[in-house]
Parts: sequence; C-alpha cells; structure tokens
Amino acid sequence: MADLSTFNKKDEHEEENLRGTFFLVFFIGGFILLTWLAVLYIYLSRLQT
Amino acid sequence: MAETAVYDRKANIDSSSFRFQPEDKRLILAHLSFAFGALLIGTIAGLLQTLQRAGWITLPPQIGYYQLLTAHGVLLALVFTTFFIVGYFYSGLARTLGGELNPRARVLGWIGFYMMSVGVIIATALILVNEATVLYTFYAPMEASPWFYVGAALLVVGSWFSAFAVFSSYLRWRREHKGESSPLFAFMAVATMILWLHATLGVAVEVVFQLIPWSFGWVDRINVSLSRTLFWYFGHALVYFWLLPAYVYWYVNIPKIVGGKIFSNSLPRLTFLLFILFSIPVGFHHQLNEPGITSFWKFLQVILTMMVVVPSLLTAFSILATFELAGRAKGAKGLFGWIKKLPWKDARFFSPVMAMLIFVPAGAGGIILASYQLNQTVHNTWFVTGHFHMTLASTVVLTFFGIAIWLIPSLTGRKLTRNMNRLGIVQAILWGVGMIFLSGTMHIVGLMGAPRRSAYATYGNHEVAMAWLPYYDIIAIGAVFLFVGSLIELYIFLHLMFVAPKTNEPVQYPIGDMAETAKEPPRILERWSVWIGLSLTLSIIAYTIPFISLFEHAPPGSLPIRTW
Amino acid sequence: MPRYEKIWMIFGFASLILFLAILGIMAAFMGLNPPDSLRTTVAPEKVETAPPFDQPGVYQIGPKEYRVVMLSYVFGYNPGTITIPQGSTVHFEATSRDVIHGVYVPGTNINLMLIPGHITEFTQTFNKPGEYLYLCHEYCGVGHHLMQGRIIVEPSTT
Repeated sequence: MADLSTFNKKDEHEEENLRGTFFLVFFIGGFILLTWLAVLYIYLSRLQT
Repeated sequence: MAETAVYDRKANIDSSSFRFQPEDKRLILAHLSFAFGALLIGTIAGLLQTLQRAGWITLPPQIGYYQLLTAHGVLLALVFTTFFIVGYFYSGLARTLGGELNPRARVLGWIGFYMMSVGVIIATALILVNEATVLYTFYAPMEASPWFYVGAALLVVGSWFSAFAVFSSYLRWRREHKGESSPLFAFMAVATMILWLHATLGVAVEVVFQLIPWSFGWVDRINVSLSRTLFWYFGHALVYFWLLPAYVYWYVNIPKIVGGKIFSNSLPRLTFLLFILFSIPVGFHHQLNEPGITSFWKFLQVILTMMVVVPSLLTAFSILATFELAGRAKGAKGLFGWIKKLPWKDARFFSPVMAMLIFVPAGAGGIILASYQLNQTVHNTWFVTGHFHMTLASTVVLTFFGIAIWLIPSLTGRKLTRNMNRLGIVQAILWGVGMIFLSGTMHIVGLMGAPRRSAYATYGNHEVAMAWLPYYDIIAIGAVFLFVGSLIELYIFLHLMFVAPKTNEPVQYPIGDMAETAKEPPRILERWSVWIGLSLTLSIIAYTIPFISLFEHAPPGSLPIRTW
Repeated sequence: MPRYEKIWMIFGFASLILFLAILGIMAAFMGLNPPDSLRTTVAPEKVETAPPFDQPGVYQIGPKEYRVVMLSYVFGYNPGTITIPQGSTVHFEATSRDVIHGVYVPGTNINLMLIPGHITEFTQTFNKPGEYLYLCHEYCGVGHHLMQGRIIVEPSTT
C-alpha cells in the first residue's frame, strides 16, 4: 500500500515538472493543425476556379 | 583580467581538460574550413540572386541568374552541409570514443576529404564557366558537362569514405567494449551515416549509370522519369542527413550546456532508428504532380511521409523536457519560470534555440507540402523555397553555427572570448530576423503563386505577377540581413581560427550526462542489421512496382539538351 | 515514457491520421488526385510527328467540355493562349518536346509537371471569367522566367 502511494506521488511530481513542456508541444501541435487546415481551405476554395 | 572564456562556469564538472590529438585536429579543421569557404561563395550567390529577382540589380553579362542559383544550391545544400557534418561527427567520435580517432578512420577520413573536395572544385569551376547551369538537382535531359557529373560522383563516393571512417571508429570501440551500449553521440553518428549510405544509392546509380554514360556520349538516350525517381530516392533522405546532426547537438551536447541531463538513453536512439526507416521510402512526395507514377504509389508514400514526422514529434517533447527539467532543478517555479533559467547569454545555446523556434513553422510547412493534393497549391512555388530556408538554412545551419563557436576554438586551442560569444548572439538574431523576412514572405508570396527557381520577370505585367513585386522587396531586405549575418559568421570563424588568444585550458567539449534514472537501452536498438533490413524492406515495398512501371511504360528516352 | 509525452504522441499521431483520412477521402470519393498518367509519347524530339501532339490546340468535345492538347518547349507553349467560355470543363493533355517544364496557373490548383516522353493529364472546370496567367515553374534554361501563356475564360452571355 505504501508502495502505491509513493508511486503516485512520484508520477505527479514528474508530471508537475513537465507542465511547461506539455503546454508548449500542444502549442506546436496546434500551429501545425491550424496551418494545415488553412492550406486545405485554400486548396478547396481553388477547386472552383 | 582579459576576456574570460565562456566555459568558466561552476556547472561544468566535466573533463574540460579534453584535448584533440593533432592528427584529428587537422582532419576536422580541414572539413570545417572547406565548409566555411563554401558558405562564403554560396551566400554571395544567394544575395545576388535575391537582389536580381527583386529587380534591384542587373547582373553583369559574365554571370547568369541560374548559374548563381546552381552555385548557391550546390555549395550550401551539398557542400557546406556535408563537410560540416563530417567534421562535427569526427570531433564527437574522438571525444566520446576514447579521446581520438583510430588510424584507419583517419586514413579513410582523408581519402574522403580529398575525393569530396576535388569533386566540389571541379563541379564549382564548371558552374562558374556556365558548363553546368542545371541547378543542384541536375534534372535530365538538361545536360551539363560530363565532368560536372564526375565531380558530383566524387562528392558522393568521397562521402562514403567519410561514412566508413565513422563506422571504423565505432567498430573499434565496439570490439573493445563488447556487450556495452555505445555512447549516444557515436550511436547517432552511425545511424546518420547508415541513412546516408542507403539514400545515396539512388543518386549514385543515377549519376554513375545514367548521367555519366549519357553525357559522355556512350549512350544516346536517358530515361528521364527514372533519373528523377532515383534522385528523389536520395533527395528526401538528404534532408534528414542534414537534420539529424542538428538533432545530435540538441540531444547530446546541449543538455551539458544547460546544466541538465539526458533523461532517456533509449528514446533518442529509437528516434534515429525511425529516421533510418522512414526517410527514404517517401521520395514521391517530391514528384506528386508528375506523370509516370500512379496515384496509389504516390499516396502510399504520402502515408510513409507522415510517419517520418513521428520521430520529430518525439524530439520536440524530449528537448523541451530537458530544458524544463534543467530549469526546474535550478529552482524555477510556475509554468514557464524555467525558461528564464536557461543560458540565453550563451551563444552555444542561443543559436540552436533560435533554430528550434524556426523549426516549428518549418515543420508545419513540410507536412503541408507532403499532403498529396495540397501539394498542388504550393509545388514549385516560393513556398517550397521558404520551407527549406527555414528547415535547412535556419534550423540546421543556425545549430551548426552554435556548434562552430565552441568547436573551432576547442580545436585551435584558443579562447571562446566574451566578444565572440556576444557576436555569436548578434549573428543569430540577425539571421533569425533575416530569415523571417525572407522565408516567411516566401511562404506568403508562394501561396499567391510566385514560382521558385526563376529570375526577375513580370510575366507581361499581368496583375497577378505585379502583385508579387512588393513581397520581393521584403525578401531582398531579408537577404541583406542574412548576408550580413553570414559575413559575421565568417568573421567569427576566422577570428576563432587565427586571432583569438591562445589558452592552455581548452574550450570544453560539452557532452551531456545521462540521468541516473535512464535505463540501459534494449539490445535490439543497437542490432543494426535489424534496422537496415527494415529500411531496405520498406524501400522495396514503396519503390519496386513503381520502378518496374518506369521500365515497362518507358518512352524511347531523351537526347541531351543544353538550354542555357 | 512520461504520461504527458504519451498524451502528446497520441495527439500527434492522431493528427497525422486525421490528415491522411481527409486526403484519402478527397482522393477516393471526390476524385481529387494530382496530375497523372502512364501514357507515353514517341521520342520527344519527334513528338510533333504523331498524334495527339501533331495537332496541339483547343478542341470542343461537348457542350461545355474541351480538350486542350498542349505542347511545351523552350521557351513557350502551343497553344499559348487558350480561350474558353465560362463554366467549361477542360481536360488537359500535355507534354514537352525537350526538357522538363511545368504548367502552373497561379491562384488555382492547376500545377502540372511536363516530362518529355510522358503525357500529363488533368481536368479543371473554369467557373470564373478572367484572363489567367500560366507560367513554367520548372527550371528549363535561360528563358525559363519568360515562359508563359494565357487562359482566357470569357464571361457567359446569358
């Protein structure tokens, strides 16, 4: 039982330490998604030349 | 006291006493010097091109736009890169595999250097006398002087000797450390060179078996589509040959510079192995809009291209995590407090981080380019040029500049002075700003339809083409910033080579320490035969039937043509 | 692998799958594919001696349907100017008689690579009237940046 609780604490601690990274990679991911969808939109709008 | 070297920080308990052996110094400096020579000529060409295309200058009759473009591409994308990468790899192998390269590696290294440099000199001379105005992709049936292709072959085959030199030092270490997992730098250098050897098979076959016989007149006609396909078998993996050494610096050297640890010994290795698998069977995304290849195979290779994004996603997390953990270990609090704790005033860190920032839009643009139908929106426009100026010319090149600023003085026994460090930061800022003007604008005007690889033209004053002109002005301004940036970089190089004060305490060669929690990597990650086998298998799956089709549905072939 | 990294990788991989799904659906169900064809020609320097490139031009094949047989060369196109009524669907068949060229109409998805010995096929409907510039975007020699043509879409008179 003691093992489980220390295990969870370590996990949380580890996550705490990577919150900034988590935020930033999702910012990167969001940028990729947005720009991709923007060019998809341009492509679709040009289908009707 | 005179200037203090940047490495005089308490954080570095590492052996800052590492010194290169004289033979290794000579070999590495030969490569780096040749690289910087290529940088000088290549960036002059780039500046002149941009100013011509913006209509700011007219070129003298002795040199044409497309000659400059060929020189720019060859010297920067093929020569500066290859020579720098090989030099950097030799330095890291010497540092991490026992302090020096082994004699056989040195012999192979010099053979490689001479073959490559002779090849480059021949090719460059021919470009300058207008005998090879075919751009660095040299597509048939435009025919350059046969000696240009000989030069290209020498460059490629020479680089194989460089790869063998890398393997030689690695194998020597493996024999002396049986059963042990190799140092991360060496592992990554070997992985990169395996990728390179596999990739260059394509262009080697094209040059040696198609272009050389055809241009010497031993064979009348050439299968154009086959030659393009062979080139792009090589051409996409080429960009990973550029990118992976930058990743090596990010994964292995930078953790030391920020005072952090490498927190996994397995994930970086897996990342590089994934690149070996997925960088090659993807060449069709450079050929999406051409005939001779069916939609099915184009789409299959698009799927494989999306897979090659995965190791970069892993890298993004790993590198940022290393920064955050290092910053938090220094006491940072809050979501982003760790950012302030990073060594922003250290050019060895600043340049590559500028590189990483630019990699975000760079990578996004790459995914767009590979996206099958979306490619029709951007193929052969300046969007493509913007893309590789962000990826190669910023992410990779700025990282290389960040390496050079400590590697050169480490080799020459001089100090990395505070002034050079400051200048390095100024250089990176200039480069970043210049690149935003240049590449950012290229992406926009490319979406508006401006073609790549084209000299100044207004297309009969058509309104669509006239709308591009103001953007060309911004791009030209960016090019001026970049050119100044490259002059500064060359000054830094020369200063650290010949002028900075000598020192008895060599500049530290930073190698990151593995975190205590990092587990031993699984053996399979170093069973190269598995990964080479998988890489070949994927390429066979992705390319066999299309290649057969290119032979079966082949037109009679093209005679040589000279159009310049 | 830290949990945050697992979440990130799942999101990243899912995005890539999403992209592929969209592209795949457009290809399989909307017929949207890049220019293609396995058709070949006779030797490029003789391409004007055999059909279809012995008679390049604009051919009406239906009430609002046209076939454009286009030959490219250093440094121009035949036909250079293509005139069609608004609302026409045009089937391009194009090749080169010398080096690799391109046909690119800025502001549209018409982005073709012309490889000597091969025929490139692509279909586009022109719903908006106007004078469209098209140009060569694949380096082909000293005159590359002068290589261009026009597609004139005439407004419908109804």
